[in-house]
Amino acid sequence: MSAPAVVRELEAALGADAVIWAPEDLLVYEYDATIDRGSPQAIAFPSSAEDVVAILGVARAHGLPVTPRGGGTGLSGGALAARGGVIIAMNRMRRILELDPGARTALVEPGVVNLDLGNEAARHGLAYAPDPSSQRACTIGGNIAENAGGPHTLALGTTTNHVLAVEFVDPTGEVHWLGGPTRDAPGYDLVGCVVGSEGTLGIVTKALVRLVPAPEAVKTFLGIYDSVRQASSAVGAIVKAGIVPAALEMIDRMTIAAVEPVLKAGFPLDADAILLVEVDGPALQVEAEGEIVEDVLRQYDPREIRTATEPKDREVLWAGRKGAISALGHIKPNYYLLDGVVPRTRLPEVLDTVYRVAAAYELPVANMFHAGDGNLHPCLLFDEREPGVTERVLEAGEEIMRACVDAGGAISGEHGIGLEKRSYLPWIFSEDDLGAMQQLRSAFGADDDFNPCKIFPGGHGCGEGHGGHQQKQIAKFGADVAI
Amino acid sequence: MRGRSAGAIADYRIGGRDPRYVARPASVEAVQGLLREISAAGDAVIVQGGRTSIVTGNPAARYDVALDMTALDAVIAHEPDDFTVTVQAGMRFDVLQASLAKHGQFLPLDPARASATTIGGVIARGRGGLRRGAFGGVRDWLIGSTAVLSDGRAVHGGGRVVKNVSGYDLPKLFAGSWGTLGCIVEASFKLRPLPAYDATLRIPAPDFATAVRIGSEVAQGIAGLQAVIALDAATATAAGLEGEAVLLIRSAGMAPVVAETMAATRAVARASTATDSISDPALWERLADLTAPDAESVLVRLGLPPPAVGLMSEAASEAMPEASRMAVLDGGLLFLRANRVEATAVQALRATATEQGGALTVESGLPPGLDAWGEAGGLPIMRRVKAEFDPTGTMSPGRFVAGLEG
Repeated sequence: MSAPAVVRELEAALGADAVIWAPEDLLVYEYDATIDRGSPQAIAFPSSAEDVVAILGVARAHGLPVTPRGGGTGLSGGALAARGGVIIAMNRMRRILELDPGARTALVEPGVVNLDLGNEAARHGLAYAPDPSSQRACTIGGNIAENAGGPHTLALGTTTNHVLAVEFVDPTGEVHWLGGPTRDAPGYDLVGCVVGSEGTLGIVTKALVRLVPAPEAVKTFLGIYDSVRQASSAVGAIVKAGIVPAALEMIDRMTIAAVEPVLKAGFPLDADAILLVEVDGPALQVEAEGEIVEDVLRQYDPREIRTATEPKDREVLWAGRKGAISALGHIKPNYYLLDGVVPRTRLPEVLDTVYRVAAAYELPVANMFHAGDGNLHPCLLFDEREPGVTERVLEAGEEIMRACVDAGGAISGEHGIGLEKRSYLPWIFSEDDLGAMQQLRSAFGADDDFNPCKIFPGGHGCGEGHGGHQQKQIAKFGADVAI
Repeated sequence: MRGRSAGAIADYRIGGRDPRYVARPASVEAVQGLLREISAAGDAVIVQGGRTSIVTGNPAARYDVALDMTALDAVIAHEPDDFTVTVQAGMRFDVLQASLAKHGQFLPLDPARASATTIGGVIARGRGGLRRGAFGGVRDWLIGSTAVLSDGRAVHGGGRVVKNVSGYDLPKLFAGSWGTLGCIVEASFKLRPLPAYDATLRIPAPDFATAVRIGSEVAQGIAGLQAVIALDAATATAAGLEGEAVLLIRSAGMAPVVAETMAATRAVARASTATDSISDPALWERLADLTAPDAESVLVRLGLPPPAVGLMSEAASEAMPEASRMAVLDGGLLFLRANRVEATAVQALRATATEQGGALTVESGLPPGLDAWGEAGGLPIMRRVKAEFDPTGTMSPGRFVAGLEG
């Protein structure tokens, strides 16, 4: 088969080894970690901003849509070529260009894997704070697109708090430097607009990120409780005590049932909640805060409390939380992972609704969530071979998202709206709100062919259907790709 | 509504110009109606709260209407257990802070003249204050906002939850937009618990350069501090302190932790144990107020990578030898105040600051012909943003970067 013209032109611009177009090679780029999929015509791998400009030019000349992509671990369909066209895969731009320990910044290319940056920072006694569970596979560019969080962003904030400046190709092919080494760059906070825009305003080709001093000490607590309410009350009391822990995480009974056979950690199968609390900072502070945390945990009548300070021991405590997603496969082969966020105090009642909705649709549900910031991740478990079950899952998911909104929350805490949840956006924003957002998109120069069908409802040729396979991502990247 | 409870026209003078009229709306709907009317008439408006930074910016291209926001001053919702608050933009900062303090909480921004400035003003400036090294700026605490555009549309972004990726982050666009994109009417913030103990270590230094050098070592060497500030003699006097130069180091948290941090700080600073540690919130208010622009003097603000503060401070003593100086060593700020300044001196300092990765703004006393802000990266996009949000050029035309008009 001879290459189509668009491929020949891309190859001429980037080199033959920087373009993929054979149908069997394209398969892996048809999905991310959601249950949607899209079929691109070609994948182009730029090595520089200039390459990105060239790709945009070729795609535009052929009237083809473009979609940027990082590690492909996204959980809202953001990296899918919803209307086909060219995927701009940033994976080959993976150099850490500079790391300045004095200024505590790093200049990186967008394809750098999150954990690789973290490891490099650690050699200088520093850390890159956002730590999504997919950090072994997800990229800084993807993190910027989704404003990625992670278990440890409770105290330090999400990606938007850690990106200072970006080299950025706008959809018209202009290259800009936005922001600066400090937060004092004159003019509008365009970096603040780009982070979390899900790759719909342009393509980041370099990023200057903040690093933070690695904590002197870390202590992790695991509390096992008879009820989610008890555990939630403990969370409230910790926060009320004036402590801002590094992490505050919870898993529920179904998740415990899934992880215990794998971990054999001795978690009681009839307990409703396991709470993880981590404090970090100067050793004395960790000791003092740790005492308060342990006192509070004991006040709410736990079955058991475990603690750890050494990295190896702390990992054991975290295993149930971080390995939760992969373990779900022991209950049902498929799952649909939701990402809702509510005011923290509303978590228990929203969780009750989650259980009620799941029961009404006859679906098992496992919950794991960032309890400190009200970000919940219900996983609806199913077997896609069962006729009609996918529709039931999607309907239940929609009802759960609606409950989050009714509780004063939002429809994504860290996974983004993407392709998956755009029809829900009008639940939280008026026509005028969405109109202003679309105007911002126009101001950046994005048209219908730049990363189409993401975030906003409607759109030419976008459709609203679901269908695809989250599990392949799990198989490829491992278990904790998904939270 | 028009003019009612608003002061005399002359109270709204900006750069020697009076508005044709003053409006003081008492509801979001009133703001919408007014802006619709103003833009349809082809008039230009400057939104105002406590007017604490009204002297900052390039001269307005046009100024017809003063929009006084101080009547919109209610707390809409404070959820202490969720650590969030939603307020109207005209609320005074110190009033909000006092109401949060009753619940053991605070919003960790330190605007100058907190007893006059409004929430809307704080957001429009978008800045952190003396503790920005520890707490960042407005963008790090603002979780939702509503702004009225010049065509009267009220647009909302973000929400009332502390973590959110739902739609574009409009609050970040409005934070630091200096009133040029729309009129901020409502905002939601996340909050922090007030620390149990808040202490300030005061270390005398023989001169400002020494204070800056020691402060930089402390800022680099001690984790978890809230502010490291160097004052020269003139600034120290203005703050009610004595000495040729003073280093102030703030630490907050649990008492034993603060005590240990202060001990470690003394060691790094090679300061004697005789150096006193005090708890003095009023001192920090005075210090914040010293960062306020005023019509009578020149105030130059440099935002810098912290390691560059020492070098810039030396450059400043050559370019503006008469100026009094205050430096924030952990947060990367340098304030210079003088009676007058030559445009060439500012340009030279700005060039050096830009080279160092920082930025210089002239907060007050802008020499004629000079831009208050300096060159903006992404200006073509900013122009298009301004044109989309304010196509009639109604909102503070000419005052922001590159004289953006719409």
